[in-house]
Amino acid sequence: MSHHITEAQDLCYSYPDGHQALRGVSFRIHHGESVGVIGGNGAGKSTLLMLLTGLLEPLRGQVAIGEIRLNSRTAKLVRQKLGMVFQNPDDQLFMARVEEDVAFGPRNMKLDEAQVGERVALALEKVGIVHLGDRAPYRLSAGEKRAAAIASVLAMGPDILIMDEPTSALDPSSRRRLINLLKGFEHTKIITSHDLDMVLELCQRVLVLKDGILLCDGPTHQVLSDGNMMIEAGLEVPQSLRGCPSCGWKG
Amino acid sequence: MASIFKTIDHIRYFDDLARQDSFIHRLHPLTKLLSTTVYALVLVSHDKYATLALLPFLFFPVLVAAAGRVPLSAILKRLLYLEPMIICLGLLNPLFDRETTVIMGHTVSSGWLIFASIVIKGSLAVSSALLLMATTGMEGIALSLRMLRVPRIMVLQLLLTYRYLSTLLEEGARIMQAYSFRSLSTVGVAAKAWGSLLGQVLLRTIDRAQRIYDAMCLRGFNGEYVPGKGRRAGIADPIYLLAWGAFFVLSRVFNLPLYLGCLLTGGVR
Amino acid sequence: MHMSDALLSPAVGATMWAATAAAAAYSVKKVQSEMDQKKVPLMGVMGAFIFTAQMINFSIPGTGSSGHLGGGLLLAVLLGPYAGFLTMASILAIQALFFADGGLLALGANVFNLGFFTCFVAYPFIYRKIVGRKGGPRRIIIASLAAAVIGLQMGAFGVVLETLASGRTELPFGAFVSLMQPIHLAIGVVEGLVTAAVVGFVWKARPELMERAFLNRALGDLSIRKVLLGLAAGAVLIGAGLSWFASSHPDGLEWAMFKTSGKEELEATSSVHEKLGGVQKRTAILPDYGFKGPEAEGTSGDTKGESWPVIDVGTTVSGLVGGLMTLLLAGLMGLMINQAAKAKGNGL
Repeated sequence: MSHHITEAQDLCYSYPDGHQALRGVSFRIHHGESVGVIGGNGAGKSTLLMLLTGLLEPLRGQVAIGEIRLNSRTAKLVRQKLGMVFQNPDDQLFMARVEEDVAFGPRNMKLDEAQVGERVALALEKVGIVHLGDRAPYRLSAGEKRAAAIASVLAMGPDILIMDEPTSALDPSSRRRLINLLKGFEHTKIITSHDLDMVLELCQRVLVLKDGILLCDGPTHQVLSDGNMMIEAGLEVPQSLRGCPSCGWKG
Repeated sequence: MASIFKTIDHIRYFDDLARQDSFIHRLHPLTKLLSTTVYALVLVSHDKYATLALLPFLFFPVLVAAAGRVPLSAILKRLLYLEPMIICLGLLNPLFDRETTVIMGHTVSSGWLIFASIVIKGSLAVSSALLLMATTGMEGIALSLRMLRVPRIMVLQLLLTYRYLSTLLEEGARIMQAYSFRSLSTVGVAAKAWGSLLGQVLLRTIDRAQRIYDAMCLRGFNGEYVPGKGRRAGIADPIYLLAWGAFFVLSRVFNLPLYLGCLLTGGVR
Repeated sequence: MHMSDALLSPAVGATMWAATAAAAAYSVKKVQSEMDQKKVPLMGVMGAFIFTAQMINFSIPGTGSSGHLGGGLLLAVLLGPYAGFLTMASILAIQALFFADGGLLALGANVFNLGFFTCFVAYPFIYRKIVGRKGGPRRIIIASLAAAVIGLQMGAFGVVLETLASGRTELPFGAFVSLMQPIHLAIGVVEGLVTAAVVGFVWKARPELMERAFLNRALGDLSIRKVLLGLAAGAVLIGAGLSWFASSHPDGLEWAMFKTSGKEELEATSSVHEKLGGVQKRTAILPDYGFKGPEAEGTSGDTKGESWPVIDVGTTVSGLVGGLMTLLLAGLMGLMINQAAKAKGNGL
């Protein structure tokens, strides 16, 4: 794994209808870091992920992964280093069988069938769903779908994992399994979520977005405990960081 | 709405059947596609009065169903559903065709003869098509289509349509549920809501297509679908194909049931 | 209405397959060359959407009954004619494969009837001409109605012609036409109105989508002359194909292969008869029940039916016994294989 730095410089983006989604966002994420991106609805989280993966091109500013500046020509190269897990696994599992889906990326990389098979097996093993390879996506539970979606990304061997709301629609035990799985990954992780307890557990650092502006960037525990800032961002301090009214514990 | 649920069940059930393991399932998908196509071709090449001569064609679906572990009920259920349609088509003949014809020393209405022929042909063609799916599955079909040089873009599109069928049918069922809770009509969607009901789903579908395209691009898709190799054909495949082909041609050229009957009863001149 | 395998002759089935394959190949070329690859997933998901929409009942005001959407015109409007045609083809393919609607041989005819006329005739020359550059709700309704009705009338007429050319029924042309066309007029009206409602909704909610569909240059070079030329070439091809089949077997457009095998049959049967006669003396279970039926010769059944040549003078009893034995044999073999498969646990 090479040591990539993900860098965003003054990112701006507005949609064709005039909505300004991002208004000058800059940050640097180092290799191996886990960073949470939080903010209220419409704060610009999804747009930021689209810009980081090159699905949208910024109106101003730029994204760089390692030494490569992201643009339409380098997108293909950069995307081999990034893996993005979509919010709705149904959008990502577009083939009729899990194995076929996981093989989609490696095949596009023009690997031979033996290598493709190896990668598929390895990816399924990493997320613990080897037994589901032959299933159709609609036969999977929400947690299994999420795991399959992650496997389809891992099969491409990315250095950086980008995830949009990975714990949405999961029951508590599937959510726990996912968190434990992600903890074991050494990839650089960029995770957007409203699940602040998960962010607290997985990420050392958070970026807080509000109306397209980076409101705050700092260590997770410190940022999430800042009551005034959290309320300003349309969020609230997670239950686990609040003081206990009956015993007087201060979080 | 009930029909949506039935359709979802049907697709999933056939998907499960296709995931079984049997002699038929292990054949190469192209072998099964070709044998079914030849079967259908030879079957419909019989003329409109053929009835007795069609009976040997029952062997194919019966044997494939037995060897492929496809329960008869799976085929019969769909067959019974389609039968009224086939019967209606056939029934037009005795209505319009009042002539008679003499076969085997008996005067028969030729309209009814055509009716019988259409019903038998229709039922056999339906059974063989369903059995193809129940033993091959969509990916097998896609593999055979690629081997037949069908453009990749069409194969990918077919696979995507099949993949998202369940997802969209479920969405359709949900929206119809929500609609029927709030409207008292039992006949269907009122004219007022035609555009907005379907239109909403359509817009969501278009947005979904965009996300799917994004997901594909992020995994290296650039307009060219790279399919897997699929498995190779074995020695059983040509034998299977040839054996059935020979049987079909034999049954087409000779009226086997009549020979059999003659043999047993001595009715040959 | 779906064309069914039971009504089709191999010659007509193959001809329609060829016509559909040609239209599909051309569409693929167009789709690949001049539009963004983004459309491939859109086509896939839209296919699933139309499939779902076909299952929804739309109540028809003032009638108490309900109708369905076919979707060909909607696809052409939203995706353009080429992508629309390919999407319709994949919907019909899934219906033929998974639901046995129509059948494998009839698939070519069905794609042509429901896809070609709508996407390549009704959409460019009726819908687009009426809607014009500007659009507008009233124009969309009129255009959809006209295009859907005319497209479906052509499709229904296609079914009539294909059925008659196949010679698998005795339906008189007039009766069939007067049955099919009015039914499809009603179907076409529902199709047109539902299409207009959906297109109108999208036009209001997301005008940029419709603009994109309009700006789609895929139509730029589709001139009436080109399509008419294509249609004429297709007609000549289909006509030539059919007459070739027909001339090789004057009776009912039979397949050439079986014309020759029919001759062999005549020769073969006489020698087989001799042998069978010998065998039969020793093996016949019911030797005295054979009625000779020379009177059957020269009747309509004989001259028309190829399956009843020469040996159809066999007896009713022979026919019935033979038929029953065939059924019994098929059933028994099925059962045996089934048992064997079960015994082995994991298939054969």
